[in-house]
Amino acid sequence: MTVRAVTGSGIRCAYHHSQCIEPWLMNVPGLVIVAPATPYEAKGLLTASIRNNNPVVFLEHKLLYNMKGDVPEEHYEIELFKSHIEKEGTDITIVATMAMVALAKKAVKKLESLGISAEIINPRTLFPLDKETIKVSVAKTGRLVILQEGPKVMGAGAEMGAMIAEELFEYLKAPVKRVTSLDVPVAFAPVLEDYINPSEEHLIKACQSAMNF
Amino acid sequence: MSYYVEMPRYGANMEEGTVGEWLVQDGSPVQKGDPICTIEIEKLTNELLAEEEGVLKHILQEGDTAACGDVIASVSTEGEELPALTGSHEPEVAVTPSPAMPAEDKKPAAGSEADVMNLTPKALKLWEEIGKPDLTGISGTGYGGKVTRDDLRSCCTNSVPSESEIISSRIQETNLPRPSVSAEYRPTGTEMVFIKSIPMAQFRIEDIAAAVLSGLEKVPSMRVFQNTDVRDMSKDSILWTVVDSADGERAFPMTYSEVGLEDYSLRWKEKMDRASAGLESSVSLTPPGAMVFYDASQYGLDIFKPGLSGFNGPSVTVGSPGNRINIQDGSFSSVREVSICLTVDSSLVSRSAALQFLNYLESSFQ
Repeated sequence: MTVRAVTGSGIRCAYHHSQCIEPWLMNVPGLVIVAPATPYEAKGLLTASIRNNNPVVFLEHKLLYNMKGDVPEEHYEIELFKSHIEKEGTDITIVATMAMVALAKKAVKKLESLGISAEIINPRTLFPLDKETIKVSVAKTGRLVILQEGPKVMGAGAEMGAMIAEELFEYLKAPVKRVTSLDVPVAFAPVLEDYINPSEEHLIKACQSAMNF
Repeated sequence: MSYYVEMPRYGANMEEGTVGEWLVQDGSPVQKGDPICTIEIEKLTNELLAEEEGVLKHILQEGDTAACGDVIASVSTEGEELPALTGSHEPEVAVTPSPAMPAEDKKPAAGSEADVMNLTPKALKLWEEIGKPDLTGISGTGYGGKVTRDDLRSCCTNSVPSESEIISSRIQETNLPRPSVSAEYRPTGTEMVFIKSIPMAQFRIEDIAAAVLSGLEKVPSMRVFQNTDVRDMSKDSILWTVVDSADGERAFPMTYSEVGLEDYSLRWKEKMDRASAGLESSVSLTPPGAMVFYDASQYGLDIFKPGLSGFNGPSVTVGSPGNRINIQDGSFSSVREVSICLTVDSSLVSRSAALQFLNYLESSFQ
């Protein structure tokens, strides 16, 4: 069975409709958590999810419903349990999920103007996580910044950071950084909601701090 | 007050909008709060209200699409000139290169030794610690062919200290003298030291020797003692060696017969004081009456050479049961117990085997 579920904040819907539920679900062994970031992924991953025999929760970020992108008309599948390297780089690995992928891509130009070549990884499936792609990338760059919407405490980024610390400590040139929302209920006021969520500026600062470590 | 009307952003994900219909004609006056035009985003249509009073001037036409923040019209009041438009109004994220990272030094990784030789950061540190040996021919087994610490260890086994050696050398730097039959505790990485005090009703040196020798034979993995020899430390062995850092590298070994028992506690006290004041870099004492069982086939008598502190080979040191040194004040006291210090290589003798051996001794002494 595949269950489609909405997630995420940013549409000014206050506390009750702005939760990031992926960490709740990731803590239930047996569930497959799929998190597309583009229209192309939404179609390909949904097809793959329905054809998968496991119980799948297919998370759809509210902000991404308005996103435009090329989608093939014919049927196609995107492999589950496989991270996608959105952009290759050499200095720092940025792992971003769902709506944060676009934010990370947007920051690329700024980072390049600062001389930081970032590799962006979109996990696509949050659980079970394709650790190998992330590990190969972090082993190459030696630095990891996790960009995640939702509270920092016990988020998906916490799991990735712990995994890297556990399995890839030898390769790290700087501590793993997490750029996340604040650990507070999502605010209704647009100004406050934007303040709570991670921004391009936060991401760039985290990358700079990892580079300067 | 004059202002430029910009394409509003209705949601964080909204990138652009379309001017649907002008509700106020070009050049007509508007009041604050009047709807100026409709803005279409996807399936939504919103009315854009005037923020100030003035004369509206269209800049975009109906059906034109503009990015959020781009100017679509102006509202001007008499006598107030608007600044000339200069391209996009998209807000820039203010990023200033931090001073710690000058432009030409942005990529510390590129071109650094670690990258040229493809070492992981930790392997690079180790490589530097062991004196940067030649790495030609080494193949990395890590991610991306990186040379890991394990690769370094397997290729330069002679020069690379094991993790336990590094740890023990760091412990040693902060090591304090501790009470034991052999006052010196000097771990060398895989060395394991067990110290045990066993109450003893009647002390006979022959009994102890017999118990130790039969214990070494009884516990199978204690076979590292292949040719056990016994040394009575009370006779002519080195009582202590002193490396006096205040006087440079002066070492003066003294034998038990040179010092005498009365002198011993005074010397001990003096040495402890000096060591705690940081004047002595090394304190090595063996109490009188101690016996050392060691593997003569491997180490011979070299272990008793003057200036050589501690034993690197497997040894069992059995301390004098009649006298005990109080490490606090240097005084002797008479006790009815025997102190045993077992020193073995943990790669050769397991912890359980060592404990089995000590338990055997305990049972034979009682």
